[in-house]
Amino acid sequence: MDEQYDAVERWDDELGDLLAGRGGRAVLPTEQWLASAARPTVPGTVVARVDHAVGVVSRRDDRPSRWLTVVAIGLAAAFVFQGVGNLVAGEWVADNLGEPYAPHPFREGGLAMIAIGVCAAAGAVSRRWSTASVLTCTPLAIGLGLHGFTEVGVFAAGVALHLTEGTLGILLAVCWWLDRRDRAAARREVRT
Amino acid sequence: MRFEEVYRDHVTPVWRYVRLRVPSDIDAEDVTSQVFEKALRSWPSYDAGRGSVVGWLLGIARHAVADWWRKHGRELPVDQVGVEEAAVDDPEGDALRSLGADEVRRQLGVLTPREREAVALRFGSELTSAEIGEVLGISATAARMLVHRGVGRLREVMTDG
Repeated sequence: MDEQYDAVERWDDELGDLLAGRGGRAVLPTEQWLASAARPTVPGTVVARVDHAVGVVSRRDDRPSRWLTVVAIGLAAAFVFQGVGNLVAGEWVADNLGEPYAPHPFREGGLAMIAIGVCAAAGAVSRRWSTASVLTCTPLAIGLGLHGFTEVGVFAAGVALHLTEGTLGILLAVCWWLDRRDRAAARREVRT
Repeated sequence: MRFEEVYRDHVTPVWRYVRLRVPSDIDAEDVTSQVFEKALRSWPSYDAGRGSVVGWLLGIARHAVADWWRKHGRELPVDQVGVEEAAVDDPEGDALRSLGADEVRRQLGVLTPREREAVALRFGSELTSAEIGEVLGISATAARMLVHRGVGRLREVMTDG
């Protein structure tokens, strides 16, 4: 029995040499025919087809969930609205708050709000970017939401905007977590 | 390791394996595409400590081929002539014998499902006996014997033919 195993092992070594192009001439014609017939060159159509399929899945997999997209866009809109408001209606905002108007901080603050709005919108475009969106936008949105309470009875529009930002900031983190959880579950399903 | 690199390096062994397991090249293209779609989705959970990438991909390919046969096995117009040669119920073997697009697939139809799989992994994907054992869940020695037996059977059939 051991002799048979040894013979098969030697045959397998020869086969390995044949498949690796290192000779293997001792193997029989059937093996040589199989080695040739079983290994044609991959047609370009197969590579193109798989390329396309992998690209489609890759793009689809990178798309965040619908709720995450909606909330990220909503938060982005709120931030940009505040930023543009600071740029074009800073004086009116300051009047309503009963504060002196300072163009310089209003202008820079406005630009910063637009930038953070873009950051929030990035979370709606790509799942890879959504983590950065949550990390940067949620703390700011919650901070602004809490700040909104200080404007109660002073500036209704400010209260509405800041509370909206705070709520959307919390929702962004919740949707991001749900999206990650669902994606992990989908992966487990594929694996099984 | 990025999936794009993995895919580029392994599309050939996967396609060659799949091609030996389904009757036509079009089917092989479909199944290979599905294999990489599934692999991409589960790539983040791939654990290199549990086995080689090629073994993992071919494990997915085995399931994809099995799914393909479950879906299409009964639709194929298999010629019943010569089907009595089958020792066991083997619709894949029957279909390959009568519908295989080329000589190698028709000949592989005479093997048992297990032998066919082992031969496809050895010759198509160029796996070693140890790797075949990993994919099939058997020892390297058992995998080697399976390939040897399969090739021996092919030799008999081809000599007879």
